[in-house]
Amino acid sequence: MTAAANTGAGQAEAEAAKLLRDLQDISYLEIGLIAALAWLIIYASRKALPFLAERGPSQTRLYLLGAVPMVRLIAIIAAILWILPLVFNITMQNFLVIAGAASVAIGFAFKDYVSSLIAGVVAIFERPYRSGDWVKIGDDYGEIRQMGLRGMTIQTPDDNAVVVPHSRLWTENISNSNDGAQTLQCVADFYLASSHDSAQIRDGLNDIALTSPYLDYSRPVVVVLSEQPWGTHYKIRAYPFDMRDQFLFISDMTVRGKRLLAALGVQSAFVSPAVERQ
Amino acid sequence: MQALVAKLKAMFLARNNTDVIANERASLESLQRLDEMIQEPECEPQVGELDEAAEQWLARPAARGTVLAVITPPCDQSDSFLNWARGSGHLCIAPPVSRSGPVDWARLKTSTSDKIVIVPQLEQWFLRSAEGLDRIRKLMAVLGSARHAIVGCNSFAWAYLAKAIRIDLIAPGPFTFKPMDGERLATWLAQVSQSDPVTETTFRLIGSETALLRDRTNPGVQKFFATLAGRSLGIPSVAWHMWRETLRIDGAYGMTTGSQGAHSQQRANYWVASLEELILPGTYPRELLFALHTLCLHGGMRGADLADNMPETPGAALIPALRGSQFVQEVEGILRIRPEAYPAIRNGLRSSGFPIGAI
Repeated sequence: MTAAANTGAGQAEAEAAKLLRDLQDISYLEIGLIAALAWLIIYASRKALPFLAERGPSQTRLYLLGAVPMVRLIAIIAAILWILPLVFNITMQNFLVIAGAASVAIGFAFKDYVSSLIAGVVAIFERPYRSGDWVKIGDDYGEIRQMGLRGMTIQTPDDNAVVVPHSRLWTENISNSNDGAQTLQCVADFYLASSHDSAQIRDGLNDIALTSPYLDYSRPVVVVLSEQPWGTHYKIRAYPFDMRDQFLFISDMTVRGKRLLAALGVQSAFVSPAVERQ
Repeated sequence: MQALVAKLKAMFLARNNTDVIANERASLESLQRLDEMIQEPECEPQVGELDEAAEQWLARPAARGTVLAVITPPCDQSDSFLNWARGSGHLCIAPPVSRSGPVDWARLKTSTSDKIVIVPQLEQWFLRSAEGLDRIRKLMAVLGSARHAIVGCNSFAWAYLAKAIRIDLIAPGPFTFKPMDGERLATWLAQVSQSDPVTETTFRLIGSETALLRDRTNPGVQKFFATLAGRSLGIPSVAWHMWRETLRIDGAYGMTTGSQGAHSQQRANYWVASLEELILPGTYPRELLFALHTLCLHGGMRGADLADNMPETPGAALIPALRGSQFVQEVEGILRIRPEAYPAIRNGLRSSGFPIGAI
């Protein structure tokens, strides 16, 4: 009786110590189906949600785009949790073995990759930026078109796609222009020679923003000016109702502003490149 | 449920050239005949509301020197407010004919100060332009100088002017008409459709013998008018045009002559089709959305003025595209939103993030 019990316990111990299940016991079909299902969910969400975001009400656009990385993360985690017990014999002892091996591998070979993955998970939950936001990271400014787990793809106004790893989150300041809102502030600059009626110009530029078809009525319009050694710098600060129109909005204000200034006979200031750099 | 699915499908999946509304319209000839027989009526209940509001406002001791704003119904082709203003004998200030056109300031300043000034169509003052804003600021300064004044503008113009010149501070608490519910709408349509003493008009739902405007306790009839009120946002002129779009004529314009006792009376029979919901697709071209928004804001414009008000120089295709759409009509050179399309356009513009008229 005692011998039999000892034999059973020994077998159980041996089973627990075995990290991988026997190859013939692993259901490869089941693993394949789980992986295919996860891939299908991720693929469908990557295609369908941006499609709906572009065609549906603009208020739902950012929510739909923001759901893509969340769906991907959930699908991947669910698939991993489902597959792991099919391949590994999960016990506390085995878990420690796997974790130890993984730590060594990550520490030596995949440090940056895993750092980006962790930053990606942090970005999904802390939301310093999300799909559809306009961000500036380093010298790159653009709209986040795709949020992966490792990195994101920014589409610049020049239609370049820039892939940025999330690990930049640890080391750099990230400037987010709209932070999840539907709009962002746009600035149209005017550089004028000093001899003019500032109040008249300020009121005129204010009307230029107010009469733009792109204007968001719920946000303020402000004209600020500052005196510089070379003349006066005017800035119209206003918001378009759709941030995708930001460059058209700035162009519209600039074109009509220049027309106004020409009609008033105001001269532009000459700013040399050296002064501008200062 | 089916309606919801169809609506979502149209919003997300409809192509730009898809005819979203089922085109079951009668022939052009019969439609013209219909228009001859049925002209858009003034909405008397709203005129009554307006009279009451104006009287109450004038009776207030502090009314002098303040401005009463009236949010006029959109797409009102019967011009109820304009006619009310003209018929009331007050001093009525017309909008300028062009962006830089003159305004009769002299008449405004020299008229006796006890006369009430009415500006019935403020949205037509080319408001989204620097010249227009200047003129409206000047107008509001004159109106606010110790006399009674009433200004009328649509809700889009009100929302814009509240931003641009803070009209909401100059004329706080604008008067808005009560939206018409199904019952009120049925009563009004019954009144206006029986205004001809010679012709006895009957409206029947297609596939049913129910006389719509007579048997108003019938649940089907109540549902029809409740739906009409909801889809038209309770705006009488919009509801009337939606109602007009449902009318079908049986045979030779449905006009039959019969005799009732000693009196010979004509009988007109109209069939009423189910209400079709017009939807502005989510993929509608953006430049056309800007044009529709501009038309909503200004109440209607000539093609050249519309082109001037567009954000970028529009292509030559813009105006023909608008004319060919089911959302815009051109009357005497003025492009206007079709009344029956107004709710769809408003919803479409809101979905696309455009600022709309919300009081």
